[in-house]
Amino acid sequence: MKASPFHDSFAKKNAVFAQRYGTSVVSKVSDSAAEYHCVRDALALTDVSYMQRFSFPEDKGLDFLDSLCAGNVAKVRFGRMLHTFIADENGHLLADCYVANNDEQFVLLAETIVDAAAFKDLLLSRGAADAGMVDLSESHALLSVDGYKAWAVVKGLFGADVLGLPYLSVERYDFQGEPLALFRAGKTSEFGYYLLAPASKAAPLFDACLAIAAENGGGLCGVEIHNDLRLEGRFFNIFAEGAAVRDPLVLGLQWMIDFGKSEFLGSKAIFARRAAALSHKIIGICTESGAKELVKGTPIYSGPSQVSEVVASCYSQLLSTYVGLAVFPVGIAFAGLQFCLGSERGPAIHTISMPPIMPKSLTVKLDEL
Amino acid sequence: MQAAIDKRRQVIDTFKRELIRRLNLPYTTEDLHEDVALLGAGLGLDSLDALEIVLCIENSFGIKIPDENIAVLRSINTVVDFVLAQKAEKEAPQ
Amino acid sequence: MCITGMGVVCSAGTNCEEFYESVVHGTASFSLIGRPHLAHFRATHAGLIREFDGQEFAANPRVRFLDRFVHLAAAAAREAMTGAGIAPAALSRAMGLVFATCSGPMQTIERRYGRVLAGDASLTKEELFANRYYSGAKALSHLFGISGPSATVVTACSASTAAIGFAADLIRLGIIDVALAGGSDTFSETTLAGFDGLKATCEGTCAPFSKPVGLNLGEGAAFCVLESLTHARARGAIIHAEVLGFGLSNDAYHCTAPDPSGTGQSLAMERALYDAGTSPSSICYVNAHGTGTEANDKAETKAIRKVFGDHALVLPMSSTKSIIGHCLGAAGALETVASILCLSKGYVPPTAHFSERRDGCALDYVPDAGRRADFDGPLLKNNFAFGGNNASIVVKVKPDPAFAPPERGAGEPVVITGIGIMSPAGVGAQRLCEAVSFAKDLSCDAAIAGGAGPRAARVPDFDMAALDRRIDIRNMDRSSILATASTRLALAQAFGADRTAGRGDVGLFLNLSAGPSWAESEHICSLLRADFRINQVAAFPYVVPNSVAGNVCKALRLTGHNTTLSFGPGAGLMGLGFATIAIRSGHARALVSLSVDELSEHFLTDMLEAGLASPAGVPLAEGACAMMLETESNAAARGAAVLGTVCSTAYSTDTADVIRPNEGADSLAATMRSALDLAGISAEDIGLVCLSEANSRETDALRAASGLREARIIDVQPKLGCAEATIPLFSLSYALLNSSLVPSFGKKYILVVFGSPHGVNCVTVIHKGNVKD
Repeated sequence: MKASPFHDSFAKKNAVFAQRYGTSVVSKVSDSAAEYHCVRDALALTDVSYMQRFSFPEDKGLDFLDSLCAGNVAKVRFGRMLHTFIADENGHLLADCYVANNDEQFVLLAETIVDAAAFKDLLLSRGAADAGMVDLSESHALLSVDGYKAWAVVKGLFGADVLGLPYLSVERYDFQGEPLALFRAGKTSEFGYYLLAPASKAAPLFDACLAIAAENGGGLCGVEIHNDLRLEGRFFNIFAEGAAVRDPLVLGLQWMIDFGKSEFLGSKAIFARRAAALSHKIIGICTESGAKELVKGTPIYSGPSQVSEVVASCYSQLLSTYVGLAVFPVGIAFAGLQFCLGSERGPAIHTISMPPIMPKSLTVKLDEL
Repeated sequence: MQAAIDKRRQVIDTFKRELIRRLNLPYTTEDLHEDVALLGAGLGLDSLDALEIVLCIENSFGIKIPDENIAVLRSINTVVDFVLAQKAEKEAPQ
Repeated sequence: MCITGMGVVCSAGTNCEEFYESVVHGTASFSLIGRPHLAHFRATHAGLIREFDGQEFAANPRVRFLDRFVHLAAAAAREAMTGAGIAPAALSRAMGLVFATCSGPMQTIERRYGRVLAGDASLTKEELFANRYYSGAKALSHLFGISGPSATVVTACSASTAAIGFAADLIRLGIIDVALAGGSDTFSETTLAGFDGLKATCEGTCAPFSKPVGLNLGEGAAFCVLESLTHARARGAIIHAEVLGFGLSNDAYHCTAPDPSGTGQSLAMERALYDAGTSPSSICYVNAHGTGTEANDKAETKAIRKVFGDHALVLPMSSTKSIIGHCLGAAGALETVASILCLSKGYVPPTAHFSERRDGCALDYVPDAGRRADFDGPLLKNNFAFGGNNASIVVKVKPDPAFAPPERGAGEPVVITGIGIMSPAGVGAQRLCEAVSFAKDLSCDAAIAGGAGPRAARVPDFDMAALDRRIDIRNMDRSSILATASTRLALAQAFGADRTAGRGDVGLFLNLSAGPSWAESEHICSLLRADFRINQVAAFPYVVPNSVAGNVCKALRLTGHNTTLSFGPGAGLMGLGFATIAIRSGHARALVSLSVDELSEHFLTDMLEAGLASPAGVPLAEGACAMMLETESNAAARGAAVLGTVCSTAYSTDTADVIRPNEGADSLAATMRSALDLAGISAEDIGLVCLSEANSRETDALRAASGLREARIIDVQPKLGCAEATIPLFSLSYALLNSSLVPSFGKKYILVVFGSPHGVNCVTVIHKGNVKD
């Protein structure tokens, strides 16, 4: 199993490590309430080197990635990135991906729910070697900076111009004489950046970012709290609802698909399911205030019959209730309805519009800073 | 429950149809999940599209969205919530 | 290139003297719009002209039938030429005209849509001419007798800044001695509705870089007389200022919003400084685009910081729009004149109505009233536009006799290395050559609403993805799709399979006749049908003709020297010459010159009603032709195959009538002789002549020239139909690419002749292959 280039830096800060799909991850660094507030009120650094990362020369990479991804890689303009997924032959999710067009190359950043080695084997079996794929997993480190004040870190490192980067864009910068790719992305609904740098620069990059984070009341966090942050912001989480459901159509990920493409991996199955019309879809739920828990797997009842079950949940510190996701039959998959949790007479649970929270970052205009 | 669903479904369908037509989106109404983000992430619409959406809501439902109310334009569902709330307000006996 | 005359008409004054007083004191000149049917708009005020000296032009029977933008332009132009003491007739073809406009005859166009919606589609030839953006240039040529080259820059809000630059280039290369350059735009209700819909307007009066956020529209015209230093000195003219250089760019980013990083804008400024041979630190004042909108003021401030670094902190910068509003295509010329008037009297023009600094705007904006200052250094003038067009010029108010402009590569040949064609014969030059050789009939009867249309030849359906699947055509109109496809083909031929080559600093010149009309119809009709209720904003950004080039630049990532020119029929050939001038002036090493014709229902109806097309006549054709031009050394360095060399282009404008050409073919024949002289060849060297045999002026001119009778005539119009802007390029492409047309020994030159139905004449000499071989 590969160790992250940031392993030692996080280890020194008493990080708790775990394993996920064949990679080591920092699951937490301090308690979850502290990590949560770091992101919502200041900023936090997360080691996201668990994401698989590959680069491809632009000309060969284009066709290869386009044959794999559901989205249209051909339409990814220079300096921009595409949020899409890779599925298997049956049209079930394998990876949630960003495909970035960074100058003369494409960069693939993938969160996979298959083993890292198996994912790479899949790419190779589809002709990745001929497409000039370079595995950056060992050579490069990937750090994410998220939060209301995340911009302070990149502004501190690269100057105020960086604030003009729109969401889902990529730009090249220099860090201590080495090229660094900066991605404006993130899945917390606060400002978010990924920094991809050579592994040799992992430690100094970590130190430089942490210094600025500390000045701004920020700190470190693990991947666990990101499950809550994603759910509150209604960002798709492949490790939660993605792994549980796996059908991109039920998950509402049609926006990641270009239905005009003639073919991509799993397209036949996905197109067939689309033509047959959906029977179920995932929607948001929340408990009433005072509820004690919302546990994944709990059945949801409409009168005497079970209609659904909880597939993801978290306690929302902003809303002071539990929020979650559940797959409902399309006929009743609407916000604003009331059901019962656990049994016919269980506590009330409501279907809701997502995203349920209004993050502070949305009230800030970055380029005015 | 069915009445609430029908009322909501009607607003959702109207809004989705108009959204697809005006912004020339390559999707059907069934493809658009009500929780998908409209701006930035998700459908990835820009500020010009946002203005078109505001006009779309104004013309389809006769409801104006205040200039700085970005909270409304987060997803189809948040737009629909706003429209239903405004309609309820208009219909409420004074 | 010095400025020896200036004239203005706007809300702040209808001559230079009044205008100066308003500007230097920061006296805003807005008035209530006060039209009941527009009362629901956010915009309440505009810089409207109440009375002006040029009312007589509105009454002048020669131009009475033309739009008000022509009358404003004529008034400003007359002041400029009177002040300069220039008599155009005496200068003959040594005087040219570069006219600029954003919305052109929009008031006339609006009235026309109003009548059509009311069921009256009838249209005379005169009315059709009055609907065209190029009517202003032809009217001024006619009124004042300017018979050299004439062009209309239609890059929206950056147009007249660029126009001054193009005029300077024409003089710098010695093509003309004197030029009239400037712009004109009038207040249009549908334009106001567009800006209101985009939430770009402000309530009350605007305060660029301050509050409230938003813009006021204005209206007006400004023209400058430019001439070579030698010419001005020889006649003892008063020199008000010197144009040192200019720079253009395209953001390749968004149809309305500027690239928030300010990259495209800073490119234009840097190119202007480079062209002027001066450094950022030498600039003493910036007259900003400064519209007052959130997006512009912030991006412009950022771009200024990028270009000037810390010098920006001590560099005064102001927006004249705080006084006169946004006069769109006339803005650049009006603001340049304002800057020259103030600086020459020792004042920096102010930003009026400046109460507090806006977030993101932290420079010296010269609040409220003109500031006493005395400096010799040059000023920079910015204007940015929809479609991503950016223009900057560098002007020096007190010319420095010792100043030597930087060297130009004027001696170097400009070659054609790629040709991209979309024609009724299909995709690519090969299809066109086959169709011409095998004489297929490509036309059909175009049905239009309410009856049979004229015969029309359309580009058959094609798959853009087969050309380049990275091009997204989802939000493109027909013109943009054809333009993008042909440009892609030209780049492909010039650069081969390499998908990344040719991006970046490659420029683009789009040359139009009627121009696109989808967005115009959509936007105007939507408003007229709903009593000016704003139902949509999607079409408005594409009403301006330069939106087509904006789409091409965005799709193909072209950020180089970029403009859109409206010449009328024959635009493709006329623009090819302007593009050559741009390369020879050192603005670009490589650029694509492109023309496009679209057969919208609106266009077909107009042509039919005006009697310019019929179900039986020559079919109207659709199409586009893009030619990749570059310096010979650039092509040689890349090892690119040279298809042809542009040896010379000669222009003239007939001035006897406002619409029609002069009687006889004398002017065209003289233009032909000039082209041969400029190329340094004789008629005997010509192997092929491209013209239209249906045009008696062209055939007469050919007969008049001895030595040309043996040349073979290439005329593809009978086969392909008449594509107004593109047809001469179709013929030229056929002449260059058809391998069966091997010119006999010593006759490797091609003469392309175009005499437009409006008397705008252009003749080009092209050498087949590299002239050096």
